[in-house]
Amino acid sequence: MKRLFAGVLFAIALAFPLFFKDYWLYVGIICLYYAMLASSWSMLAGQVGLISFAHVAFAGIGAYTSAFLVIQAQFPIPLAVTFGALASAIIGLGIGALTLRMRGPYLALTTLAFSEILRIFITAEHQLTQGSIGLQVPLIFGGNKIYSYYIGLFLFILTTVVLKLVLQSRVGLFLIAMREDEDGAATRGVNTVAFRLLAFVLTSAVAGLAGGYYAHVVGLVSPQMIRLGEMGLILAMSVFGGLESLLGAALGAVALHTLTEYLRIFAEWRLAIFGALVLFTLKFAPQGILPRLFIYAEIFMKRWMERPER
Amino acid sequence: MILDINRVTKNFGGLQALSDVSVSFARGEFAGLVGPNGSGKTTLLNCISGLYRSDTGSIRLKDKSITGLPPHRIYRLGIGRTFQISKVFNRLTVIDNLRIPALTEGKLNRQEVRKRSLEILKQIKLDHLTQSTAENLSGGQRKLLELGMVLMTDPQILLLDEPFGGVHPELKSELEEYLCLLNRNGKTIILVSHEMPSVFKICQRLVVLDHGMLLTEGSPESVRADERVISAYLGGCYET
Amino acid sequence: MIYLSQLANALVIGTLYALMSLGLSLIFGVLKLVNFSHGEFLMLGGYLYFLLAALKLPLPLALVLCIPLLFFVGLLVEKGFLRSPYQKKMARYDEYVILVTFALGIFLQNLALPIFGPYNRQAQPLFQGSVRLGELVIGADRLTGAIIAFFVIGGLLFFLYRTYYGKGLRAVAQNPAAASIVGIKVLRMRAVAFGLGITLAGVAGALFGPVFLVNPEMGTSFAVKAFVIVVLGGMGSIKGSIIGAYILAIVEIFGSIFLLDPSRALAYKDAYGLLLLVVVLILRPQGLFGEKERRA
Repeated sequence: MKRLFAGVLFAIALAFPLFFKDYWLYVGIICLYYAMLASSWSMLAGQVGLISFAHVAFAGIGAYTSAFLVIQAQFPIPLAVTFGALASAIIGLGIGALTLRMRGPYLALTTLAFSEILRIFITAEHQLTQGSIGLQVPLIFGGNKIYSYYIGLFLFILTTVVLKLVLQSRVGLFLIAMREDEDGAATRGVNTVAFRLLAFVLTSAVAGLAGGYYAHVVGLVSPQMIRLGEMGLILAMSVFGGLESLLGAALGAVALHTLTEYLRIFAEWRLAIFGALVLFTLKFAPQGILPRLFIYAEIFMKRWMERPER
Repeated sequence: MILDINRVTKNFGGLQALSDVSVSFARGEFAGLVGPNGSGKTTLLNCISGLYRSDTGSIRLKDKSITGLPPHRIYRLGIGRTFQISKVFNRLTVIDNLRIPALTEGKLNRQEVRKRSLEILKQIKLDHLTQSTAENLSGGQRKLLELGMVLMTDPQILLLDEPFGGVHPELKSELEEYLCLLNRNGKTIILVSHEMPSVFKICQRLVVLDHGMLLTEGSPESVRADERVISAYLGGCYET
Repeated sequence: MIYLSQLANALVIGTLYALMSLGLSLIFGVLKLVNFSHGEFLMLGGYLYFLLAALKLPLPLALVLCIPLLFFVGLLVEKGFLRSPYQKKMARYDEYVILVTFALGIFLQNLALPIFGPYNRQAQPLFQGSVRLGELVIGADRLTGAIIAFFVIGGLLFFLYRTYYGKGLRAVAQNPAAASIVGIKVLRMRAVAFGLGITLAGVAGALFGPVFLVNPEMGTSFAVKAFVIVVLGGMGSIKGSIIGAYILAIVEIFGSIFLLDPSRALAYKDAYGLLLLVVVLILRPQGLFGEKERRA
């Protein structure tokens, strides 16, 4: 059932540019950015149980690194983006190492502090980074949205498949064990240090990749992408779509970002509505609204298929 | 001597949990680690199994130092540990709980791991709960599961922290028999427990801690009659 | 002698910082959770006082009215979001509360934005002008704020250490199971602690309002300061929060004097606190007076 569902989604995603152009295609591109961020964050927070508020900071690191490499060192864009992901992975390793002994709120606080320090640094060093105005970045494919979309889809599928493979392997089992009881896992042979670092490196690499992608399809990188509000958005998307499901979180991202567009009428109330949505989800469907809907759909399908023949 | 603990100290910001504790355990012995609450028994187990790093002193396994090694290395070296409050992986199934310790070793492939899990499940008599989620198990079943998990890699030394806690009498005597069986098959067992009847019944030697220090050690009879032990438990105000 | 004036300033600001941090510390101590929306409740207090003052209420009354209103909101939040997961021993409770308080904070911030607009608001301070104490000059609004805060803190300490309810709170903070055995209603204590913690933040916001101006984003930077203070002083330690508050105030004021490049100094001001937070969390997570976490 899940495979069928994923297959249908894939088909829709592939066909998307045929039906939607320009503005909505651009929305789709941004959805892919958020989908990558949300799914990787949900792996760290939901599957491994490490709530990090530094995720958008890693996207920012990927974005700025890629931007600099292209602007200052004339790197070809794909290479720069790869290096951006690498930079995020390395810093992710560093953060993981520094926070080895931390769980829960201590980890959340440290990663929050790191994210804010980075944002302040980028804003303050405006000779280097253009500060809050943002850095203009060359566009990939000269700005052709269709190519940009498919590249984004490719990156999304690539990262999701990689993360999924890890989660379904024995490593995934170890990560879940660590989430359930870190000391228990350690005394049963799980190298908690190594796997914790792995979780950070993997998810921050994905975030960095997403950031690099964003930089070159939007054309502007600014500290705005590292604001805590953005982190809140990722949190909202993952919670809404399902913290313990990569695809769920990705769908949550698509759903909420598209909702952003529809809610343009409400302009300033948008984010408050999102906030309310997240609180509602956390209270009534903590595993996520989408998984809950999926369960209802399954029940419905089952009843429909088992209906008595006339 | 398979396990040597030499002059181990552990301090928690002013609270001296262990002071200069030295004790050795022989291969194949069944020892009981006893003492009043707060005497440092669990802390000692934590130091041995790597969850704490002792401040001073050394711990040696078969003459190789294991002081300061991370817990997963110590488990792979053959020291398995259970906890006072069972540490099982709540949202995984019983069989997944069992597979994990074996999978970390990497010695067996998936089918062999599965086979061994089912074997152990039969031994601990939880085979009817193979696919149940661990959080749905009763307290006694969780203790059994934890024991099963530890046994997956066949460690030579078992550190058991209150294995009888909250277990009903029938299961308790089954457990006692099972532990004796494991001991007869060559496992060294160090048992921490407050269940004195069980301890006196199955342990060959008792090690008594009090306020983080080694008070005495010896056969169950001699420890039982030792005045110092009695006053340690009863607070020193009572005459026998 | 400029230093003396700055020191006085630091003491004044420190008292206000202490007020907001005590709330955070209390919530952590009793409910064992870090309230990631603490800053937003400070903001709420600031706006509440502004509104009540704008309704032409006498200012002292406006301030006093904030208290029951904020307390009530705190009780609502606790009942709505924190009570049943705790009671039902929800599986990932620790992670859940992080998510829920963070989301609550973002929600409140984004609610304030359309309602009040992004501009700074300034409520009428209780006293205006400055006060001369010998050679020192301090703004009267800050000084009154600090004096009121001082008395509120005093009242809180009295409450915690001399009344039944206060002792109940401390009992639950130390050992909920033991507390319930001796007849203390743990759930009620948790609610009271949360309400009280929120109220302290809100009152700090109301007192800060005239001094620092109220805007929807103010919560974030004050929350960060509160986190730094509570972590520095030790999570759950009352004494630690008070001392930490003064330390931070002194570091902030003297830090910006001694930093060389004035244009960057302002931008980096918040970063000092953040760096301090990270350093403390990595090197000594229990802070100055907190308890070390024990395992197994």
